[in-house]
Formats: sequence, structure tokens, C-alpha cells
Amino acid sequence: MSVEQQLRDTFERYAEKTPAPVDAHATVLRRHRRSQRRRLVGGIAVAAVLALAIPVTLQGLDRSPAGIEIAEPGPEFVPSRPRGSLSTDAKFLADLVAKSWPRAPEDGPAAVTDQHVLFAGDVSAGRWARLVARVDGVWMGLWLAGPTGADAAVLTPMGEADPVQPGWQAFVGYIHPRGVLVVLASEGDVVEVSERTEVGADGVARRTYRQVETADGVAVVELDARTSSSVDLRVSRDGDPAIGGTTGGSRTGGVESWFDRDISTALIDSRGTPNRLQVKSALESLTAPLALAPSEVSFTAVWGGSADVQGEIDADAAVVDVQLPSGAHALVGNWGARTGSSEFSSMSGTSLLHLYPAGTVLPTLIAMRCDIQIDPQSAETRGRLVVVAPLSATSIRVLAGEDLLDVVPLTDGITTIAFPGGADRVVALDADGVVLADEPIGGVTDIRLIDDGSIR
Amino acid sequence: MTRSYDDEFARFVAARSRALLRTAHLLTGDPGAAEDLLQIALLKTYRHWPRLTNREAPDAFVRRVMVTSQASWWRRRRVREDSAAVVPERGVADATDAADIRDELWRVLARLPVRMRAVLVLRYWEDLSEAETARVLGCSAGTVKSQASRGLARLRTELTPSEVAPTILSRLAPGKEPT
Repeated sequence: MSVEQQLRDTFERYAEKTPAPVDAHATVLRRHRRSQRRRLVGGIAVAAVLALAIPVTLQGLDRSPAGIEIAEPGPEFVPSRPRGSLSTDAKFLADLVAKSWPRAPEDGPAAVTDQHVLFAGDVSAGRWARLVARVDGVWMGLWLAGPTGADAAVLTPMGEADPVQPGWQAFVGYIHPRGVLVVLASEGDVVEVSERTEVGADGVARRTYRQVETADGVAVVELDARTSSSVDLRVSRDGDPAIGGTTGGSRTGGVESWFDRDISTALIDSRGTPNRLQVKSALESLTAPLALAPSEVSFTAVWGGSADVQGEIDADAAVVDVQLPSGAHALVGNWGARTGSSEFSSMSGTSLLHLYPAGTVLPTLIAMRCDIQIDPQSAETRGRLVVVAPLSATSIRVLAGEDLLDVVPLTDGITTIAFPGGADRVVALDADGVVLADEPIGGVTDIRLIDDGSIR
Repeated sequence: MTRSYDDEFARFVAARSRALLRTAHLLTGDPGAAEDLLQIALLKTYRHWPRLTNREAPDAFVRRVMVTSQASWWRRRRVREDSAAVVPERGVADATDAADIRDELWRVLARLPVRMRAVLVLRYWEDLSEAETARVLGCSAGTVKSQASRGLARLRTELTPSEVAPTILSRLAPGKEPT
């Protein structure tokens, strides 16, 4: 069978596996209304933020700097003139244009044409440049950096080249681990920056944006390096909220991390047998996007243990209760699986994150769904239902609406089972059948970072 | 947006979102990311709807937004991989591994550059012509042709490494459907 036919078969097979869309129309309208409402209060936009959920925000923690390019489809991209403090240095610009485009060896030689400089200048983190070029016929962009005063030949890429959208460029931004953010917008654009999401005592996460100065449409912003992973950026043009985006970033090596701390004593009173790394991962998954240092929060490990069922997978899970600086609490649950791709490779994901106002009595029954990915190259997952119930509970009822799906005995108030399809609620009972607690199954739907900047 | 536009858009989403979500799944390789990608594309489509319906098929517009948006946030996946060691470039299949050849191909697809994968999805799933694919991607038909050719070559190469050849090749043999 030809590879083309295999490809068609594969596409057919995985297309069949695609779940049904969840009320796409209502979701689009809701998000559209939110963006409109924000426009009315002088805010900006938009769509790229929709891609963000907390677990996705956690992806912003990849250890490499991230560029952003958000644009609407439209006419062919037209490079703007060079800007920045070196934009009048003809020799420097010419040397940049003459630089060879980086290429991975496996991609072979590239056909590079129309190389342009969009930005060249000295910022506090060094000498930066932004290049664009047609690479194999496709517009690509690349950020370069070197020491202050360096020749063009010395500048090296700060990350991989990104495809430039075929439409006009709304803006291009880049944030450096040292906290320097450069935004290439157009003259008259309003650029706003929010350094971090803050969770108030009411348990609601909010962002505050401040307008930053621009010169010739370029904003160079000095940020607290600690918050470089949590920065969000908004750009508007002629009051049009349809322009906007968000940036990831990278944390500096000097930023305090849970992985550098000894949390052994904090696990002594935890239920189960928590894997320290798993607990640290859960803590990091909350505090890093919020740009909080470990010393700024306190936590209790609620439970930790295996997420395996019948020796099927090598995975752990953990649930932690984190008290944030405002007094609000966050329940965070996550999983980690050792995968087969290499001895040391692993996958991890957040399964539960729920915020509670300060002073709230947290639920005594916690149920979370873990969709454990066991192969980094595949979308295949193993669903697990992890339940942490009161110690006096001896069993749970797993429900889908009012339908009873299963009754599961507990050991020390805990169980992990293969996720029963359709389950949405768990009821904990004691030995006499008395209901002790009744809670919905928490999951990622609880923790969407929605486009008005709030975590609900 | 007027009520009639809203109604039109609602009908379009109801009729086409399932098919478009499938395409998004094939573009991203991840059902969760596909849902996010489709919603981004539909939101942009909604904002452009009044102009869009007069000049191009909505399906084409949504596909174009999905393809162009996907490249920029592909790295932000719901689940991240942490690796403390060098992961083999190519999975080493066990000779007794009963994994379906299509799963192997799916894994190889995941390693392709985003735009190369998009070309393959548009050409072999959407059955777009080279010219139509070029319009979606905003590039030339020649680029589509070369990307498709190189993508298929990568699949052939990666599906026939020596260490997996006995198993994989036997499944590729005519008349032997994967089990």
C-alpha cells in the first residue's frame, strides 16, 4: 500500500476519533461578547487568549524564550522599514540582511529571499534584531541577540524562526528571560502590558494592564524578570480590539523554584504516599504562571499516590491545597507518567485547579479526572478517576447526572479507578451508608483562563 | 452583527463544526488543542462574517485561520513533555509490537514541521488541489508541491528504519491490512 494511501487511512482513522464539538457556537458568541465588553471599558482584544487555559499557560514554562505573532488573515505581508536605535546604521542593517538564515540540518538548504530587518537596536539585555525573510517561499521571522555593541555577525537566534502570518502583522513581541520586552507595533498603536495574574481574596484571578510608552511604534519595556513567564500583552489600533495577543516567555535560571526546595517535612501529614516530585510539579504548575515564589505561599499536600490501575501505567498523581498571598486557596491536582520513549522521559498534566475565596472551608471530598498521556507522540490517554474522601468514608457512588454508574469501595478514604464514561459526580458514604459528601468531578473545565482575564 | 448574519453563522457552525474539528485534530494531533484551535478560528470568522460571506467560502476561511494560527501557538500544548535525557529521534519498535502501522504513521506525522503537516492534511484529508492548498497557506503552489513531496519522503524514510523494517514493512505489504 502506498504511503499516500496509508496517510489517507490514518487521517480517516484519527478523524473518526475526534470528539464531537462542544457547543461551539455558544462558546464563540460568549467570547465575542466578552471581547466587546472589554472594548467598552477601554480594553483591547482577543482571540489568541482564547487558546489559554491554565494547563496551557503552564506550557509557557517551556525553557526557551517565546516570540509571538498574532495577526488576522488579510493581504500579503509587507515588511515595515527598520526601526530601533540602529535603524539608521546602514552598514549594520546591510550586514543583518546578508546574514544566512538558520536551518536545521535535516531540513536541508533553504531558499531564502527578501530578507529584511524590522528592528535593530540596543536594549538593556543586549543588542537585538528582528529579521523576516521568505524561506522556501514562506515568510518567516527570527529574533537575534548579542552583546551590546556587537557586530551583526555576532548576533545569534534567540529561538526558532516562526512563520509570519499571511495577513498584515498586528505586532510582533519578544520577551527575554531578563525581563526585557520589545513590541514592534505601528505608530499610534496602544500597547498595554500586564506582568502577572493576581488572585484576590475573593478567589478570582485578574490582570491589571498598564499602557507603556512607544516611540515610532516600538515599545521597549523593562519588566521584573521574575514575571517574565506570566506577562500578557495587548495591542490596539484605532481602538480596534481585534488586534491583540499574549506572550509566553521564559523564566530565568535564578528564579526560585519548587524543584530547588526540600518539601519532605511538609509531606509527613499527607494522605497516601506522595511522590515529592509530583507534589513539586503541582505547586510549580500553580505558582509559576502566577509569578509567585515558593516563599510567598503555604501549602498542604492533601494526597499523593499512584494513578495506576492494575499495572497498566507507571504514573503518579497528587493533590495540594495552596494558600495564596491574598488568603485565597487553590486546590491543584496533577499527574505525571513515565513514558516509554526514553528511560527518563515523562509526561505531566494538570487535572484540577479550583480557586476558593479566603476563609472558605475546602471540600472534604475531592474527585478529579486525570487523562494520562502515556505516549508523547500520540493523543491516546488513559482516563483515571482519583477520589480523596473523608477518612470515615468507606465507599463512593459514581454518578452521571442521576444515573448510578458504579459503587467503589475505598481504602483509607482513597481510590483510583479507570474513569467511568460520563461520570460527573461522586458521593462519599460511610459504613452505614450515610452520605458524607457530594461533589462534582473537578477537571480542566474548571480552570479555564477566559478571555476577560479571569480564572473561574 | 445583525440577526440574519448571526443566524447564518449559527447555521454554518452547526453544519460544519464537526468536520472542521476533525481537520483541526489532524492539524494539531491533539483533540484538546483542536478544540481550542477551532474556537479561535470560529471567533475570527464570526468577526469577519459580514464581509466573508460575500467573497469566499467560510470553510476555506476557517481552514486558513486554523492553519495560520496553529503554527504560532502549537508549542502551548495542554500537556507538556519533560525529558531529562535525549529522546531517540525515531521510536524503536519492538519486533513483537502489535501497534498499528497507522499509529506509527501518526507518530511520525507529529514530528513533521507544522506547515509540512498542514500541507499533508490539506492535500490528503481535505483533498485540496495544490493551488487551493497554496491559497490556504498563503504560499505558492510550488512550495506546496515541494512540501508535500518532502513530507511524504519523510514518512517513507521514517517508516522504514532498519530496526523496525521486519514488522512495519510486513504491514505495508499489499493485501496485509494492519491488525
